[in-house]
Amino acid sequence: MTSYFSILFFAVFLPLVVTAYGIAPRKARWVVLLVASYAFFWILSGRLIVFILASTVSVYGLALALDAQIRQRDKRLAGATSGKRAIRASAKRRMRAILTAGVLLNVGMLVALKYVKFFGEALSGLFGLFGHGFVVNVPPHDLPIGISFYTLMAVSYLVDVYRESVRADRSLGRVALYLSFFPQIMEGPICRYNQTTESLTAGEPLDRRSMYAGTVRILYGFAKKIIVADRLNAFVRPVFGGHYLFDGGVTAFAAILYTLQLYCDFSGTMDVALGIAQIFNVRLPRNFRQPFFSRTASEFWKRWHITLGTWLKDYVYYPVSLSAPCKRLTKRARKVFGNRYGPLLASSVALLCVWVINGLWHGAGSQYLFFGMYYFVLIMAGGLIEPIAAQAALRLGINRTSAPYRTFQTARTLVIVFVGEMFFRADGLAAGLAMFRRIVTDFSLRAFTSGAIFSVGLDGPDYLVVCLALAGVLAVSIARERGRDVLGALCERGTVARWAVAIALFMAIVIFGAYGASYIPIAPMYAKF
Amino acid sequence: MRNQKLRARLGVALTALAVFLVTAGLLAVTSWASLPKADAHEEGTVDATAHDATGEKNGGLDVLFIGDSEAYSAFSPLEMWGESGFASRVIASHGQRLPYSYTLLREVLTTSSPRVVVIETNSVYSSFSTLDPSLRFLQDHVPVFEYHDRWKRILTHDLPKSSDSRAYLRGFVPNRVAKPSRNTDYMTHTRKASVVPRENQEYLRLMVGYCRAHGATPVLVSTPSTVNWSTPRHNGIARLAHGMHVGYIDLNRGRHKVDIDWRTDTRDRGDHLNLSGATKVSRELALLLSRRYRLPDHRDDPTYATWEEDLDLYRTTVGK
Repeated sequence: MTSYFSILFFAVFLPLVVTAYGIAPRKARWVVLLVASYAFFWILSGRLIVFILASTVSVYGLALALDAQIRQRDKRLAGATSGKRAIRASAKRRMRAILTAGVLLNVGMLVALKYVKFFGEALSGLFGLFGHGFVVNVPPHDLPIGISFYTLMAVSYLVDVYRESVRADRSLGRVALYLSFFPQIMEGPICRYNQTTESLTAGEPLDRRSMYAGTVRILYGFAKKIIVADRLNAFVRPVFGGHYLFDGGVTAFAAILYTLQLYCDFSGTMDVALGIAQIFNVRLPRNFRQPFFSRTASEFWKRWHITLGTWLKDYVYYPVSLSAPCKRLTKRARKVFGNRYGPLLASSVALLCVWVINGLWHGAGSQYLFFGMYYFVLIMAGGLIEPIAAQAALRLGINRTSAPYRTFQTARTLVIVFVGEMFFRADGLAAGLAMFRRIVTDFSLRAFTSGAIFSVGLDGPDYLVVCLALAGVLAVSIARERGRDVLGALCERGTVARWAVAIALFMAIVIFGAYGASYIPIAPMYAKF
Repeated sequence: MRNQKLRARLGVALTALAVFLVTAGLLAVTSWASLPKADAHEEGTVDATAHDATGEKNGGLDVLFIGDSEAYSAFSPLEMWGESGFASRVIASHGQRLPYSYTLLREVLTTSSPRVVVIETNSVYSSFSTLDPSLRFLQDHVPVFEYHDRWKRILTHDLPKSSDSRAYLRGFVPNRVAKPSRNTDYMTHTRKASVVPRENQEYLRLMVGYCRAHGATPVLVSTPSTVNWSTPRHNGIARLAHGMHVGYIDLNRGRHKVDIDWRTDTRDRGDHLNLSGATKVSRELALLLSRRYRLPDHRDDPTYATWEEDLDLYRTTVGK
């Protein structure tokens, strides 16, 4: 078993967990989920399970320590008639020390495991620049599954307790389940403690509606991943691997197909995760909201990997922009640049932190850092240009709410996204720049007019299947964009219609899925981040 | 109240049964439609050639070769026919594991009665997960899971059984590329023996027993490969063959060693043989098998007329 897409997972693991959950008494159901989650982690990562155990025990203990400080402070405040400010300040200092220790410990584990090779190479390069032959050798090592995801969840729990928006949980098991719940451990969503813990531990009984809705959502996710994403890989892999062999037209096409592949892979895996959770009546937050309908790069990131975006907003952007140095910077900037552009300077510092972390979170590589900077520059530029663009549109008589203008905005955002994802997927920054240069300087449609495009991994019928599947995804996305609950509406239909949809999805996956001897098995793409 | 509950439960049970039956029916229909109807490699279906050993319309098979890519790269039935006149067939596929080999063996032995079954030994060492047999079971009984990717062809080409389903190369996959191997000293002497995994031994035992039960003599053959073969592996197979009372021919060493020129006879630096290497192996093995197992020479037998036609075609197209 390597992921949710293993036969062993769906034929053995999940049915066993569902059966055990169904027959367990209500109070013990969350224990079934906890045991299943740790079993899943153990199967995928073996002895690396010690890292999630260390994270769990540390945040559990430190959250209780924070809670003790809060209680002590409140007790002292209740009994005090004066010096309340000093009591608060003293408690704050101690709580900040506890929080810092927790964040350093958990983020330290992530950095040590995920980025030590990157920093080792950077350090070796630095020594090389100064003429020293010293090389920092980092032996290859495996990463515990989902470390990038559960570390962010662990940090958010500690910060929320520090901010007193949640109470520290006195049950180690519940904290362990929050961090390790098996449907979310591989690729998220990155949940907050108060978002999921209640439904995780409620022990809701299995019911027909949730079972059906969960199953259909899983099948929909499977279809996106196996029919579209894994099939597109046959084209994307050779073009990105041998980009120097293809002209700008094919390279641009590969950038588009890779974006679609990544979307179908990631959002498909999310559908599977949310579907599995739904079977147990556990509600996980959505990670995608029709991102390709966005009209700006900023909006795109509010619709794509939503839980990462909101995490960065709540735990990086706001703390940085509301920090004392940033406030001082804003004050000074207002004097120099005025009220419109002054505050932008301070928020750009916070935004820079967000995008550096966003880039590096995806991986220790120059292309990821570039990816973060790419969006930082675009979003900053968007903020600066917006008032000018609004004035220009007014003078030119362009209606910015009209359908053609909105279509233009969506198309422009799509181009930005395709280019960004091309750099993200390229084998290093140099390869990404070479591909971009080829698109600009050597753009040609020769491969399309001559039919040569059909000899690169995918043939005509492959493209037909991809187009039909994407048309289905688009139809569901449009309905959701219009506020319709597609799955809910399906659950309301008659038995025959409901099961006809489920069987049709299943048969489509069996027949048109890119699996078996002719295809390279592809693990969920975000699991490696 | 009780009646209502009973009705609800009956409704759930009937729905589940209907869903199961409809799904099973659809899988059965699509499985029938997706099964290969002709030689696989000509069709571009990776694995189907291994299944197509029933293509011989005239005369029966004398020898069956089973294995992975080492087998389909090294054994040329038409070359052997030209050398010794016995009819053979290769049912090999890329990365073939023993559970699949066992399936194929049973499939072929229901319609053919070869005298000798050659099991290429590289797959004997290929480990497989505990899931493989159950997955194999699923693919054996619901072929659409294996051949689903043929949907591109079935509507336009071969929904009906092809009238000419004879596999011209009989499972051999020729390759003319030559990439020399530097490691020519791969069979250095040692007493060490590589252990064949226990589950592999079990499947080999099943295959040997099945061959004997159907009147065929099983033989283990190691094809030349500087990448996949070694003296410890030879020793491991030799012990296993001795324990099972099965003949063992190692073409890498000893008196049966084939004179492979590792500069010209391999397509991928010693991993697999190319056409030139396969020709050498096929000729030597043809002589050895026909002598040791007294295989008949059908070259003057009119029921095997197609073999002569195919040999001419083989010599023309393969460039002999």
